[in-house]
Amino acid sequence: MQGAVTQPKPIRRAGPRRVVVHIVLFFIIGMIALGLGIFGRKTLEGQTARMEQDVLVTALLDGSAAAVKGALAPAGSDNALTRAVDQGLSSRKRLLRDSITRQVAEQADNAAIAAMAVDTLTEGVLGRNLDEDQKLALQTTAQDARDTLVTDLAAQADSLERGVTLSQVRLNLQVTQQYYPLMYYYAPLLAFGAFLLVLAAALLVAYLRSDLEKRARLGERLEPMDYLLPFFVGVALFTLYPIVRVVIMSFQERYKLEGTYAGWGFGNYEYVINGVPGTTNYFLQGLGNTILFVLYTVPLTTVLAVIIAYLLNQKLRFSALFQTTYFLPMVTSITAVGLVWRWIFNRNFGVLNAILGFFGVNPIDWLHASQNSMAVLVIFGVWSSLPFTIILLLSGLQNIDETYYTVARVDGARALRIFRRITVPLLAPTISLVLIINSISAFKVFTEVKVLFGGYPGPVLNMYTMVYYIYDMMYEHRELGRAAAAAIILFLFILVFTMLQRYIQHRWKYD
Amino acid sequence: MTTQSKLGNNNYLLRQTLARALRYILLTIGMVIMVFPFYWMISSAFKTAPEMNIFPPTMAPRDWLNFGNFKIAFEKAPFARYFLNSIIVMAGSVTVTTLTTILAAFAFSRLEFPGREIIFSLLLSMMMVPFEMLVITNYQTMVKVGLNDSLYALILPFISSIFYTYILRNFFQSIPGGLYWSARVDGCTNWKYLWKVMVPIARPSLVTIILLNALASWNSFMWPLLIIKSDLNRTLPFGLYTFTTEVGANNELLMAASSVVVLPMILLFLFARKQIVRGVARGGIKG
Repeated sequence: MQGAVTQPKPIRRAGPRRVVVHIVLFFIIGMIALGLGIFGRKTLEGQTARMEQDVLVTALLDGSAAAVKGALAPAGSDNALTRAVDQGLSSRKRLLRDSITRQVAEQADNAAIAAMAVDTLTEGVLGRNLDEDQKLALQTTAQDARDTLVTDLAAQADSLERGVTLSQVRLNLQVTQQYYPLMYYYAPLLAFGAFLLVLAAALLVAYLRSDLEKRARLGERLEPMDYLLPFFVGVALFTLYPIVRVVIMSFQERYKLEGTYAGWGFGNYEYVINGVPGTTNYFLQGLGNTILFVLYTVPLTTVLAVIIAYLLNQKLRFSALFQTTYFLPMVTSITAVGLVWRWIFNRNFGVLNAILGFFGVNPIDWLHASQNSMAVLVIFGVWSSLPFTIILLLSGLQNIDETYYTVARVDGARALRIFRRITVPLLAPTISLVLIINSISAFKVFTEVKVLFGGYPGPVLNMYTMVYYIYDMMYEHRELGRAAAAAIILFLFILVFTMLQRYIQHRWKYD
Repeated sequence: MTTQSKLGNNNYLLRQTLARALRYILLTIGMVIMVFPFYWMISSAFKTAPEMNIFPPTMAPRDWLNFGNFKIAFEKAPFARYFLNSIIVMAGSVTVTTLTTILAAFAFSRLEFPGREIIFSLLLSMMMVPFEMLVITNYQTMVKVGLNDSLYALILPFISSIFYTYILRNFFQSIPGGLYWSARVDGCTNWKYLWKVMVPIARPSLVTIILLNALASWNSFMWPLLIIKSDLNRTLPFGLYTFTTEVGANNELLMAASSVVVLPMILLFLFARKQIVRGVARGGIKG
């Protein structure tokens, strides 16, 4: 950069100002991040405390009610007594909940609360209309039992405290809608804010200590960062972080959507590969289906596409019309055309069976007979990936030097011979590229299955694919760890093809 | 080809004509197969329910102006809302992605900073990771920050695309560096140079990127399927998919709805076929 131009002075005007702008921006954003982080931490603590209180209140209330009932009307008492006790308990419960909540919030001693609760409830029971004898008997029982009940209850409550985990808070808040998402990220937010403030400070020091020339150069150094920042925010959050996280997740056994997991190890991989003994292993089924789908679709598509591309590459009338129609499936939603194909495949009124019937074939149950599922998927797969393949091959054909053909024709070679001896060999790089790209995308088949079979993996759960399995694990079962393990295996398969692609592109300098 | 006629061989000429006829016949058969599903979708959309339940089916509806199915479909499900959502997501995603792509491609092609090439090749290797793998964490992130079931979640994960940046960078690099340096010496800032010189020159590439991005956004299915829960936040393909359970056996309604989803992209393709085809050919990526 410096070497190319000898007189770069007019370029450097904007430098110093850029440094100042950065210092101010870093400071402001840093302060905001810190503020959000501190607020988030406070909210999280508040929510956790509140939830712990809720748990404690419920435990005390239910515990005291159960304890009083157990003492006054033990199992096997006559019905009238049980009913009277129940009524007595419920008459006081709402008031009691309020007073327990108040006392818990005031952080009163558990023993004191327990005593208050037992007393209130006993009072409630004794306040029912019972005959004198029973009342007296109950009173004595209650007095005798009171201290044990209170001690037990207090001990129970004591052991309860500090029992709330972060994921419980998260779950509870999602249910109750009191959800302030940033609070779980207070730590990264604080770190980010602090980092920016330090950066701002460092820049300020550097700025104050250098002369105009150095300040300008500092500003120029900052420039690429400004251009890259928005891009890198996206890449970091939604590509880099997910890659790292998924790898880690695949080793967190039974990692759930809520963030809980059982431990570290290869459990997810074992589950994915071994399945549940005695049931169908849908991952292996999906792997088999995916590989079959690739093996059927990719070569078939390529052969057809080579022929069509060859024909389209000749001098043609209506070339625009042909191209438009052949490329149409590429731009249309797989979901929409999938539904159309579903209608075409319809057993009773589908047009495909009508056409086949014309040739004397009995109606075929395409969509609901499991032996036809793969055929349905392959037909649709070939049809939908043809346009893309044709386009790539066509551009490959157009890159072949016209003189080869001229020379061959002058030598009297026939069309078929030209096709076999010139077109195909010269097209080989493009063909192998197409094979690889199509294989990669066929490995990821999902939407086609989901749409063609009405939202299920095949009529009798026989058409799982690898991505379908991942989707199922992630979305239906919330088992992100297992989904991650399956995704890593999928990635390894795709990696082989990607490496091949890189190699071919490198070797043939295709770009 | 006509130059061959000087050979004066009748047999040869006949073979030529036959070959040409065969070529047209083959291409036409292929064309019919490729287009037939679209024809079938549109013709079924205009059929009445009794017309649908005939075997063998009729090739054309009795009344090509029977818009009743569209009306019923729009009444049964909020397709206008789905349409609006799709437009919002597409516009948002295309705008943001194009901006980040232009800025990043410029930095990677014209600005100098330490580790530029290493960072870029690292980015390229990240491109190998399929979206189906990233989806797991992204889904959890969206649920965690409470953005699931919102249109933001449909835009956010796609704000920066390594692939488009790669395409645009390649194009930027093909613009001679001398232009850049002479502009810079004349006092043009990087920012001005990017927007006043590079972006106008790179317009064809930008159009391609925008078109590919719009197509991908409009047709995306798996991500909305994971993210969107409530009816009013669905985009067209996902809304259409859920519509299948609603219509039951009334395929004419489904075909009407499918036409609504497919038509905008067909129109776009008719107007911008060359750009889209060029983009696909150059990028070598499947939509």
